[in-house]
This record gives sequence, C-alpha cells and structure tokens, in this order.
Amino acid sequence: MAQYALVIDLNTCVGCHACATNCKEWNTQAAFGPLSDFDPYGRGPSGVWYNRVFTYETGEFPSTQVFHLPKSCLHCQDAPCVPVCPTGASYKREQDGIVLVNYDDCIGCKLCSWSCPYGCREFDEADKVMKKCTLCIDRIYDETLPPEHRKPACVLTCPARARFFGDIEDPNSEVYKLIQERNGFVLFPDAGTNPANHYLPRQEVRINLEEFEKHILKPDNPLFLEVLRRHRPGMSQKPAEDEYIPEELP
Amino acid sequence: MHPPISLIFFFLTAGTSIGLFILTYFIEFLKLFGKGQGLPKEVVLTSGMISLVLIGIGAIGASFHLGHKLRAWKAVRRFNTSWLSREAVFSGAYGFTLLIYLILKYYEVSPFLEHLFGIITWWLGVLSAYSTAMIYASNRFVLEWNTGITVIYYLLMYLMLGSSAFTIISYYYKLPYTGTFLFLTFLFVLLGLGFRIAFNVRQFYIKRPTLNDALNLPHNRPIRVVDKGSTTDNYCTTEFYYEKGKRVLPTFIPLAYLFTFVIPLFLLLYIYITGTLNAFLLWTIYISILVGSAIERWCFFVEGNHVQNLFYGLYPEEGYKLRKGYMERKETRISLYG
Amino acid sequence: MEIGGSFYEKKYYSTCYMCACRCGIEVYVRNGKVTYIKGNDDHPLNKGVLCAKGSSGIMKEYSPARLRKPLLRVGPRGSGQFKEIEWDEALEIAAKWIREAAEKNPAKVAFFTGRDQMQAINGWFAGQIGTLNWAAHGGFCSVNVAAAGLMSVGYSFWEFGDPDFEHTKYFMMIGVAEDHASNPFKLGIQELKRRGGKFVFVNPVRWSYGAIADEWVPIKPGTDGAFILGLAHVLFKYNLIDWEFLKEYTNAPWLVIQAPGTPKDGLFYRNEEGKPMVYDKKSGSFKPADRVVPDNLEPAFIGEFETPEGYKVRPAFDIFAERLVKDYTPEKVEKITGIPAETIERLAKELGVTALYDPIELPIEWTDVWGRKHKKMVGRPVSFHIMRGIASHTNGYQTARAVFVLMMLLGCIDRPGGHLAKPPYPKHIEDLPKPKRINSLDELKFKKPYGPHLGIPQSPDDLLVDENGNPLRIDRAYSWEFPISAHGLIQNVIPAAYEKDPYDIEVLMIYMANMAWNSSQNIPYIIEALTAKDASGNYIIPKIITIDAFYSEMVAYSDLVLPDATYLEQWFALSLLDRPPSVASGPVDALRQPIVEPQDLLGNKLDVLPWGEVMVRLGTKLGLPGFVNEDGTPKYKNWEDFLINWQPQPGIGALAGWRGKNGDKHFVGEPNPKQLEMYTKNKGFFYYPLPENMRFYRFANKEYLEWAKSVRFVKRTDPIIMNFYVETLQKFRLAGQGLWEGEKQPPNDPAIRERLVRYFDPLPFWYPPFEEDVSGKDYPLYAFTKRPQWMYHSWDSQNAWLRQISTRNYLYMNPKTAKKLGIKHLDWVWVESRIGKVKCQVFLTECTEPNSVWTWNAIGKMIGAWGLKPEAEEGHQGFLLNHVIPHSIKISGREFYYGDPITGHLAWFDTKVRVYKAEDQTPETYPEFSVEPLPYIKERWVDVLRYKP
Ligand SMILES: Nc1nc2c(c(=O)[nH]1)N[C@H]1C(S)=C(S)[C@@H](COP(=O)(O)OP(=O)(O)OC[C@H]3O[C@@H](n4cnc5c(=O)[nH]c(N)nc54)[C@H](O)[C@@H]3O)O[C@H]1N2
Ligand SMILES: Nc1nc2c(c(=O)[nH]1)N[C@H]1C(S)=C(S)[C@@H](COP(=O)(O)OP(=O)(O)OC[C@H]3O[C@@H](n4cnc5c(=O)[nH]c(N)nc54)[C@H](O)[C@@H]3O)O[C@H]1N2
Ligand code: SF4
Ligand code: SF4
Ligand code: SF4
Ligand code: SF4
Ligand code: SF4
Ligand SMILES: [Mo]
Repeated sequence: MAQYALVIDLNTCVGCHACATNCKEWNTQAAFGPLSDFDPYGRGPSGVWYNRVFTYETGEFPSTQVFHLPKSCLHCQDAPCVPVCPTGASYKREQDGIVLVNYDDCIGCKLCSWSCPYGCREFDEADKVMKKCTLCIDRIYDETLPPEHRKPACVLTCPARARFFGDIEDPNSEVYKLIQERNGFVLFPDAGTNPANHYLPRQEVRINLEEFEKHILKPDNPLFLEVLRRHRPGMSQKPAEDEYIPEELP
Repeated sequence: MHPPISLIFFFLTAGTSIGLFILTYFIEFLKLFGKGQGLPKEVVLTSGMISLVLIGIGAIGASFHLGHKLRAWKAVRRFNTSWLSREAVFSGAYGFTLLIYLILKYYEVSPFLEHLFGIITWWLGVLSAYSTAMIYASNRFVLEWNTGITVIYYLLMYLMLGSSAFTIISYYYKLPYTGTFLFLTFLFVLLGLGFRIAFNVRQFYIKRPTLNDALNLPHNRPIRVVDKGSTTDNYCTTEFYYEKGKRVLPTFIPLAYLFTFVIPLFLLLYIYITGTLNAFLLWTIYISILVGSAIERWCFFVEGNHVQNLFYGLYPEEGYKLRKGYMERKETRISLYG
Repeated sequence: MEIGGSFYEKKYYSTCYMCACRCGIEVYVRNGKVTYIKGNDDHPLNKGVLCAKGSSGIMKEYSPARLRKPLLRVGPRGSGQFKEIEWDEALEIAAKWIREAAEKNPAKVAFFTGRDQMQAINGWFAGQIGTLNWAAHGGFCSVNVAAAGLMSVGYSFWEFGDPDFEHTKYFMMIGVAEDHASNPFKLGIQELKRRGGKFVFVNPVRWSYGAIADEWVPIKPGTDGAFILGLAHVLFKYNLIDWEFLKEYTNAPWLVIQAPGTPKDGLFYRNEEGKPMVYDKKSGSFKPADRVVPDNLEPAFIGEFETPEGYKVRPAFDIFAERLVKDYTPEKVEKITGIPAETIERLAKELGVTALYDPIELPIEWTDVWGRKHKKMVGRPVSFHIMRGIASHTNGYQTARAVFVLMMLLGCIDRPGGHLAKPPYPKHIEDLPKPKRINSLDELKFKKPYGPHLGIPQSPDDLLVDENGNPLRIDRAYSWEFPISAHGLIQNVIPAAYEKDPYDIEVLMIYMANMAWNSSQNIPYIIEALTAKDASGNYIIPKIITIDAFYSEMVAYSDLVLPDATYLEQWFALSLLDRPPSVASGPVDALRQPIVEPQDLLGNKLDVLPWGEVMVRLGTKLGLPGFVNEDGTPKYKNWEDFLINWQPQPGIGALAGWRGKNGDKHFVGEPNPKQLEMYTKNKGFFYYPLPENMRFYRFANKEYLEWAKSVRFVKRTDPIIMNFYVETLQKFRLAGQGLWEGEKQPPNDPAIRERLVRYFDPLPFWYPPFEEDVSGKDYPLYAFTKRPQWMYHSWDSQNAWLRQISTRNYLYMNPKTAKKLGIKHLDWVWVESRIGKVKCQVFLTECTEPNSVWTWNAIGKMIGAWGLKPEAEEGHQGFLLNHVIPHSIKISGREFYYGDPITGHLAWFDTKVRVYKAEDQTPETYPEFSVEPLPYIKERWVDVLRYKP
C-alpha cells in the first residue's frame, strides 16, 4: 500500500518559513482554499496555516545547538484523528495514505484536532470546518502540471532543498532510501500514530587533522622563524610551541 | 484545553436529565420485582418531562459547539469508531425513546412496552453518559483525562445532579424517597469528591512526555522553544492552551470543590443533624451542585494539557530523560597523499 | 473539490522584488489577480525555489498600505493629512520645486534612493538635473565591504561574487544572518553539506544558517578583524600559504619604501617607468613586478633590502608578517574575541590544510594572460562570505580587508572551490570609476550633466572637497572625513540638511527608502530634523518628495508623494549596469513586466505610476538634456521606450541580451525594438553561460579578459593584480601626515588628520569599534539587529501572511548575562545607549553570545503606518532599536557622523547599551510615535481575509 509523505532534512533546513508561506499561498487559492486570516491587519492576526516552522535550542552557551522544525500533518499511518471523527469527514485514503478532510461532511466538532498529538489541524472559523495539509493532493495528481511540478508546493519551494516527497513504502523511492540511509525519525514515536512524515537528523562534519599534525603541521616555517628572529630578537631558533609568545608587547 | 461553554451547558442539562431519569426509572424498575411501590404516574411524567426538555435544550446547546449545526445528523456515521458519534446516537436515541416511554406511560398503553422502553431508555441514558465521558477519557493526548477516573467521575456527576434534583421532586410530591435520595445524594457527592480528588492527585503522578519525546531527539539536554513560528496566537495555541484560564485555575478549582462538594455535603449533614428539611435547602443543594459542576467542568477542560502544547513550550514541565546524544558525528578525512 | 489546471488563466515570467536577491519567478493569474507565484526553474539564480517573502508577494500586492494617488501634504508633517491630487498636478509641482531649486544650484536638489534596483538610471537622472547629491543605499548597507573588496581583488561579495558551492569543501560564513543572496545561499549551503563539506558559522548568534553549521564560533561583536588575522598568523606559522598565488597574482612581494617622514614612505618602490619592483632572490636584484611570471622570478617575501637609490625597502608581505607575529598570536586574539586560542589554531589549520593539501583539479585547459597554457584548473576549495556583522562596525573596512588578504593567503580567489567573481566582475582596480571631480559647487549648472556620482577615489586628489577641504556633497561623501565612501552616505542626508552643514538644500527626493524610521538612527532626532522649522515657520528641510508604493513612515513625513507601482505592475530592468542577478558562471540580467493592473484588495483601481514612467515624464517636462532632443521634442515615448532605447554609452543599454536591430547581438549593439518581448519569451532573463575555460582565474584568464573587453566589462586585458597592500590608502595616510604631494590637502584639523594616519593602513589591522572608547564599560553590551528570514526591512509588516510570523520583536539575551543583571525571561527592560533608551521585552536564549543583545530588524513600527490598525502590536510591543543607535560620535573633540573612518559606512552594530529591568512592567514599548492612517486605508481593514481570486 502506498504511503505518500514528506521527508524533511533537519541537516539543511534553515528555518526560513518558505515552506510555510508557499503552502499558504498555494492552498489559499487552490482546491482546499481559501485559508482564512482573521484580523489580518489588527492586533492579533491569526490565520489558518497547514504548515508552521518552529525553532528549538538545546545545550548551554557556547555549545548551543539550534534547529528548526517545519511541521505539517504527518499523515500518520495509524492516524488517531480519523476514527474519532463522528461524520467520516476525516479520512485516510487507501490508495496513497493521505489524510484528508471532506469539507462538505465536516460538522466542525474539532474532535479530530483534539486527537492529533502534533497540533497539525487548524479550524477555519469562517468556513467552520477543520483544515489541514492535503499533501498538495491538488498538485501531485494534477495532470495539467508538468510532471516535475507534480509535487507539494512546499517541496518545490524549499530553498534549502530540505523537503522530499514520495512513497515511503516503496523501497525504490528517494524518500525510502533517505530514511534508511540517514536514520530518518518521526515525531512522538510513542504516540502510536506511526507518522508517515519523517525527519532526517542533523549531522556534524568534523575534520580530522591527525595525519597532518604528524607529518606537516610543524611550526617551523623558515619564513615565520625569520620574521620571529627579526622582530622578536633574543628568541631561540626553533621555539617550542608556546615559547615565542610575548607576555607583553614592546 | 479551551473550555467550550456549550459543552459545559450540555453536561449540566444532559447530566440532570439522564441522572434524573436513571433514578426515576430505577424506582419504577424495582417495582417490577415487587420491591417498593413505584412512583405516581404524575411524578414519572413530570420527572420524565423535565428530563426530556433538558436533553432537548442540552442537545440544542451542544450544537453551538459545532461549526455546522445543520449537518449534525452526519455525526451518526462513524458509530464504529467515534465516541462522539456514539454519544450523538445514544443521546439522540435516549431522547427519542424517552419520549416514547412518556407517551406509553401517559396513555398507559401497555406495561410491557412501557417497561421495555423504560429499560431501553435507561440503558441509552447510561450509554450516552458513558460515551460522552469516553470522548474525554479516550483521548490519549490529554493525559489528565485519559483515565478511568474520568468516566466513573463523569457518571457520578450525572448521578449527583440527578439525585439532588430527584430529592426536590420527591420533597414536593411528598414521596417516601426523600430520605433515601438525601442519602444517595450524600453518597454520590462523597464518592464524587473522592474521585475528583483522585483525578487531581493523579495529575501529580502522570508521567508526562517532554519536548525531547515529542521531537524524538533523545538527548541528554533539555530542548527549549525559541520560536513558535508566530508571535500571535493561532488555533493550536488558543484551542489547546487557555492562558487566561490557566491563570485563574488556582482560584477556580477550590470554588469548584466548594460548590460541588463542600456546600452540598455541609447542607446534607445539616439536614441529617438538625432534621431541618425544606425546599430551600434542597434547591440550594441542587443549585450548588449545578454551579459547582459548571465550574468543575470548566476546570476539567483547563486542567487538560494537550501534548501538542509541547511544540509551543506550553506543556507542564518535568524532568528530562538522560539519553545518548542525538547528533551524529561524521568525520571527513582528508587524506594526505591522494 | 476539483483537482487540476484551474488555478490560472495566464502565466508570466518576471523577477521577484520581495527583496533585492532578484530571483526569477513564474506568476500565475486568474480573474486578473495573482493566484500563485512560483520560482522559475530555469533561472540560474534561484533554480525554481522561492523564499518566505517571495512566496508572499500576493499579500504585498494587495496590501492595505498601498497608496492610490499622488498626495500633497495639507497638515503639518507627520500628521498624515494629505490631499489627493492628479498626476498632472503632482508632476507640475515636482518639476517646479526641482527647477526652482536647481536653478539656484543643482546641489540644492538631493536625490537619495534606497532599495534601488535601477541605480544606474537613477544616478543618470540625477546627473541630468546637474546635482552631485545622489546616492543609493550603500552607505548604510555595506559600502565598506564593497570598497574593501573592490580595492583588494576588483570585486567583492554579494552581487560581485559568490562561494563556489559546487566545489568548495570548507565554507566560513562571518557576520551574516540572511543577506541578499537568500535563495542562492540556501541552495549552495545544502549542496556543500550534502557533499560532506564543512560549514563554519562565525557569529555572536546562532540561528537560521547557524542552525545547520557544523561549527559555531560565537565571537564577541566587533572583533572579527582580530580573529581573521589570528587565522592568518597560524597559517603563516604552519606555512599553510599559497605562495605561488601570492607571487603571481598579488602585490604581496612588491617592495614598499621604508622612509618615515618622507613623502615616499609606504609607497611602492618603482623604477623610472613607474613600475613597482620586487626583489628577485634568484638574481639577487630588483626587478619590475610585471616580470615575475614572464621571467620566472623568485621574489622575496621576507626581508629588508636597500635599493641603489638608498631606499630601505621591504616586501609588503614582510610588513604584514611582522604584524601577524607581533600582534595576532592566537592567545592575544583569544583575549580580544573570546574564541579559545586552540579553536583559532585548529580552524586555521583546517582551512589551510583543506586549501593546500586537498585541492581540487578540474580538467579544463586554459591560457593565462602571459600566454602560459595550463592543462587543468587547480582550486583551493575553501570559501568565505561576510556581511553586515563585519560591515556594521567602525572597523569594518579593515576587517573586510583582512578577509580578502586571508583569501589571498589561501589562494582561493576566483579559483575552483573558492570565492568566485560574478561577471561583469572582476575589474581592474585602477580602472574602477571615480566620482566626477569638481572643486566648487559653482561648477554645477542646472541641466549640465554631472556624473559619475560614485566610485573609488585613487588618491586624495579625487576627493570632492572645496579649496578649504570642506565637503562638496551634502552627505559628506568623498570628504576628508569619509574619503572612500564608494556608494555615498545616504544616512547623513537628513542630519546634514537639518544642520545645514555643509549647506542647506531645498528639495530632498527619496525613492524607496524609509529614512524616517528604520534606515535612520536616533529616530527621535530624525523626526525632529524632519519637522523642525526656522524662525519664519518654514521647515528647515523645505521640500520632501517621496516616491513610495506604501504608507510608510517616510511617506507620512513627506510633502509630495508620488505613488509607485509594484513589481508585478511595471516594466523594469535588472541591469548589468547595476547590481545584476549574475552568477559566477556567467552574466545574467532580467526584467519585470506588468502582470496585473494596480488595484487594492477590494478590487478598486489605483492611480499609480511606475517611478520609471514618472522619471521620464518629469525629465521631459524639465527639459533635461537626456530626455529631450535638440528641438525640444521628447526622446522617449514612455518608460518602456526608455528601457529599450536608453544608451548611456553607444551600444550599451539597460538590458544586454538581444540587442541589435534584430536582436542578434548580445551585450553591445543598437537598441532592439523587440527586446522586451524577446526577454519575456526567454522566461524573463538573459543568461550568458561562459565556456568552462572562462569560469575561473578571471583576473588572469586570457580568453576571459579578451571576451570581457569585447563586451566592455573591462578596459584592458592585463592581469588584475590583487592588492595585498593597498597603496591608495597610504596616500591618504601621507596626506594626514602632511606629506602628500598632490593637490588636495586635508584641513588643519588634528581630529581629521589623526584619522587618516591611524586608519588608512595599507595592510589590514584590527582596532576596537569606536563606541568602545565613548561608551566603554558604562554601556557594556553590544546591541544589534538581525534580518529575519521572513521579512524585508520595514516593508513586510503590511503583509498579512508574513506579519503573522512576527507582529513584534523581543530583545534576545544570554541567560547568564540576564542573571547578572537581575533580569528574567520575558521581563520588560530598558535598553539604554548614550543617546537614549527604548523599552522592550527580553527573551532569554543560549544561542546568544553573552556580550551581545539583539533583536530582529525593523519589526517595530510607527503606530498608524503601514496599513496596520493603530492597535497592531508592531507599534506597541514591537520596538525599533534604531532609537538608541547614535548617528554621530565625538572623536578627539570633534563630532563625526557615525561611520567607518575610511568609507563612512554607518556602524549600526557598534551601539553599546546597558540593559535594566523597567520599573513599569506594562507591556508597551517606549518611545512611541504615531501617525494618522490615510482615510482609504481604514476602509481596507477587512475582518477576515479570504484570498481566492
Ligand atoms: N529576509 C531578509 N533578507 C535580507 C534583508 C532583510 O531585511 N530581510 N535585508 C537585505 C539587506 S539590505 C542587507 S544589507 C543584507 C544584510 O545581510 P546580513 O549581513 O545577513 O544582515 P544582518 O542581519 O544585518 O546580519 C548581521 C549578522 O551579523 C551578526 N553580527 C553582529 N555583529 C557581529 C560581529 O561583530 N561579528 C560577527 N561575526 N557577526 C556579527 C548578527 O548576529 C547577524 O547574524 O540582507 C539582505 N537580505
Ligand atoms: N537597526 C538597524 N537599522 C538598519 C539596518 C540594521 O541592520 N539595523 N540595516 C540597514 C540597511 S543595510 C538597509 S539596506 C536599510 C534598509 O532600509 P530602507 O532602505 O529604508 O528599506 P525598507 O524599510 O525596505 O524601505 C524601503 C521603502 O521602500 C518602499 N517600497 C517598497 N516597495 C516599493 C516599490 O515598489 N516602489 C517604491 N517606490 N517604494 C517601495 C517601502 O514602502 C519603504 O518605505 O536599513 C538599514 N537600517
Ligand atoms: S522551506 Fe525548507 S529550509 Fe525553509 S523552513 Fe521550510 S524546510 Fe526549512
Ligand atoms: S499528524 Fe495529526 S492530523 Fe495528521 S494524520 Fe497524524 S494525527 Fe492526523
Ligand atoms: S471537525 Fe470535522 S473532520 Fe474533525 S472530527 Fe469533527 S467532523 Fe470530523
Ligand atoms: S504538502 Fe502541500 S499542503 Fe502540505 S504542507 Fe506542503 S504545501 Fe502545505
Ligand atoms: S530571495 Fe528575494 S528575490 Fe528571491 S524569492 Fe526571496 S524575496 Fe524574492
Ligand atoms: Mo542593506
């Protein structure tokens, strides 16, 4: 059974909010729009968004780590938001695993949002129905779009190319491989939701200079020593590591 | 959680309605087995009418919680999986069979049918109450609610409302049950108090997830929110975190205890000890329970912490687990000779 | 819900202007309104992606703050009382004001343009009036880094050059939050990271790019110069230097005369032909530097020599080496920067080892200017990017110089994997333009073309000063105070006009700059300057004309407002004459085209005109020479016609692609009447990918230079020898010492002379930011701003989507700092500098270096501006740091505008503050300013916005 999903690489996500605003831009005018914004120019503007970007930090200065977390519906494989829906408006599609809301059936009881541990559903007070990420179903199946554009808006726009889309059940897909190779993880693994969207962890590149320290990195550059000799007279020819450091400048 | 006023309203009306009917019919039911002398028809009809009206306005009130009231009927579709759907079915059916029961009673059509519908309505009332309670109790993501206590307590509250209301009826109709129902009310309130305390105490012992759990970044250091992606509120922050409510909660919980339990218990004891019994006292008990329940339900919502609040840093804090670093280290080797 | 194809009726290609990055966009339109904007997949800059701002263009287009008709002020300035007038009247008034002032003297008209993407045309327009008072926004943006780069390597960062993300293995980003190359950088950094390269982030704050850095180097603000020189020290110590590169392509081995107290001191030792010399170790003799490669010389880098004439000379490198060894040991640098010595040492080793022992070789054959054929292109795969964390300090120029020198040491300039120039750069340093020289304002005449306005003076004689050494330009650019102010000094205009020093002006024209608010400093003072009246009740700055599209703070303080059309409503050229969207692999220029009719959210038409159109009409009305023929007939029908036919030089126009009558010539050729069409057909841009052999080493690449000369990017095909040592600076220093033998001499003001002597060092060095002296320990913390990735300066608060991300800002602070100050998370505090204080709310975070406090830039707004309701958080909880940023500083007893002593670049981040808990914890900022919203703006305040055309 196919399960479409997003895979988001926290190793390149810079938290720019492009996926969030582009999602808003696409979806407000497309099949599942508009996405209302309330009091847009007033004191507490609040709108319906399918995707929001959070920023977290950990550790103490100076070993602080900061990371950004874009979060949209994770299209859980065991989506708890679906069975609680009294009307069947919330459903998970058999063919691709996308979790959708049928606006015509939704009575706006909000129960589905109560049952989502991720806060990925937003109620539209103007339409009085529940809204959420559709995985851009109106793009990915739109045959009038060129094939390379049949991807979620957020994926196409991400300037850090941190977002991938595909079938995580298909071992040949890019997303499947990424999850395997990069140890993809999910949010709230213990919630029993089995989210389809995955995140790829941060990685830190270190440079190993060992070999160089042994062979090449010796502070015996003759030119350096010559300058030392001329400008710090009285110093030995080949100073030990710290010897040449003057206590006080002349 | 943000307390929906319409649902609190529903609780009070449905609670009194179902509680009242359960007890009313129970007495009728006992009569079937030759126990007790049942109730005068008039009392059954009055009490039943009250139940019917209350469940009716309760349902109307509750629909204000819905975005699309006119589509409310669609809620019956997911009976298989949704407690809300079940609640809708049961409470709707409860109202419907209650009406039939009352008609049968009124026209005295047939005792068999009367009791058949009495029993069905009785069970539908219980199931409706149970389903409503399960909407909350089954929510794994509001840990405060996610316990059997929620259900038992919920049912007890219905009984408190019902029995205190029935005491009044009993008093007006000078039925022989006033004393019994005073006792039952006392018992329900006392049990209710016990379970409410349990509900509160339990909150201290819940093993709460941390942001590290939510983000699945097993990590030996706590994670802090530095940016919620929005400086203003959105649906997720207002629906799942009621800031004003959290602020006044410490004042409101004692009030809830006071009205729901302390005042009724005090008055009940007063009645026992002094033997004074009058309508005023009984009304005061019922209204105190009613007001108390309203506050209590409000607190119940505000006390509920949805785990999605973790992402916003709005979840109660707790210690963090010590686990291995999540950061994968990757070494790039630059080879010296190649 | 229907799926498929219904989301547009028409699709257009254009260029984004939600920021100055110039990404290519596809704009989809339905029912005459924009439905969706997508990145243009084929555009070499953004390759199909779009940032948060670019994706929110729709909400800027239909913003409630949009102006709808020209405005003439009727109430006092800042009251927000205007009357709407017709365009004819507006143009009449503007023409009258300009004519009257310019007839007295063109310098009385000052035209300053902010986020200007048509600088070449705007400068030319000002030149037609005859005024020298024009500049764009570089003076407060990054002119010192630009100048340092141009003077060092003939190009710089941003539009001038980019890291070679395709090949680089080690990338160090210093003092950057977001910068203009927004999308290209995100694309590039992810590419680097996916290849396993290392990304080092040097910044007091770890956020955005910092989040994905492999290493964060939290530096104390204002100390980067020391850090860079510390790295250089270690490189030298371990011999991790690309000597070959220094020898062939830089002036590092050139000999410098050591004769203190004489006019030759510090200048290059030259032979009779004027050629600089090196000391050839092979022959043991002095040889002209231009023979190093042809004669395969072995120039000395270290040593002291005596010339036949008896001069003591030392290679430039030798002088630098002495400085490195004495002043920049890692231990000393640690004390200055707060970065552990071991870290400095390790980082330098990583850089050096990656550059020298892990080079990349591309199998590309090429020929250098000396005719040597090379089988491959060898690259040093380390690269850097710097921006305002460096630029916004008073030591910014020298720090940027240090970075360029470091890049020379590593040999990573315009080589594979290094930092690449973007055509039309690099340029020969000596050929860079200079501001047109005049000696007195009397030389200016109305309608007598003046220009170029800007450029790089090569010696004191190129300054724009009168015979007493006083500034000729209103902004004091190219004066003795700020000699190399390569982009002018926009930030000084309002204070100078207010203080009538150096003189008064009559008409101040502002295009696309919010000078009343976020792009000025000490806002209470600026508001005073804008509203002050003389004894007879006239405004001291008599007439302010603003060209803007929105109801900004600047508009509220203007007399005449000419409403502009937005980027989706007009023709526009992103020209190679300007700051083009070029990429390293080839020049790019692009256009915008009118896509939708100007209208507001409610569908009402707006009577606005593109500034270009207004400029053409105004120029024609004024009869400016560039706009009318001899017989007085207009030269251009309209703005579109202008874009096609305007030629500042024969054959060169605004757009370089498809020139020639039939569109068969690129770069140089007569105007092509169908040019704009050809651009739109080519998806809105012109990209000329260079053949592989012309993509690197362009400073000495024969094929490239020959081609570049043919398209007039450069004037000659000689190698571009990089300035390890900037002799020009020494000339100013000599002037300061009274030893300059040229014509122009500095005034006898010790403060000015001291500056010249101290800071015009031809080799980079570090000195503490100026504020350190004045504010010192009384104001212990550095306060600065950062670009939010989702907002562009002040102009995105009007954007219904973007403002939901931040309606207000906080002051971010390290918890340890807060603890010392007794401040708790979310406390309201006072941030006080020596000039004033501002109230704001604190947010504690470990991602901030303890000597720093910071906030997002330009989120705080004047109440009532920007189409926001008066109660909007932007005016109440949001705050503007600019209130406490000084606009001047007293040095040696003399008040200077606050800038880098070399370029005058405004040192925003020098600001030092003390922070303490406010007694009154009311959640309200202070100071607050307010202005009345325009009446029609109020009608646009919908309760619910549901956008679906
Ligand atoms: N989204 C967005 N993009 C923009 C803009 C915008 O407003 N919004 N503005 C555009 C403009 S006009 C410009 S000029 C560019 C500017 O681009 P940036 O240079 O990226 O802009 P700033 O935010 O000023 O960056 C300053 C950075 O320097 C750091 N910093 C401060 N002091 C020091 C220091 O002493 N040393 C070091 N190493 N770092 C320091 C700050 O923490 C911050 O990260 O961005 C352009 N791009
Ligand atoms: N504290 C602090 N202050 C800073 C900085 C900082 O780092 N810290 N950075 C400085 C820097 S580098 C810069 S570049 C400046 C930028 O500051 P500004 O140049 O003032 O930039 P904006 O705030 O974007 O305002 C530009 C003006 O252009 C107008 N505008 C927008 N679109 C259009 C259009 O299509 N046509 C016309 N005619 N007008 C339009 C807007 O309404 C606005 O009034 O800020 C500077 N100010
Ligand atoms: S667009 Fe990409 S980089 Fe930006 S926040 Fe979203 S995932 Fe991260
Ligand atoms: S993320 Fe939430 S809304 Fe989406 S499928 Fe999972 S539970 Fe449902
Ligand atoms: S809000 Fe709508 S989708 Fe959600 S549970 Fe209720 S009916 Fe279903
Ligand atoms: S997949 Fe589509 S709907 Fe979902 S977050 Fe991305 S853009 Fe939004
Ligand atoms: S980086 Fe600038 S030009 Fe590019 S999409 Fe974003 S706002 Fe537009
Ligand atoms: Mo800037």
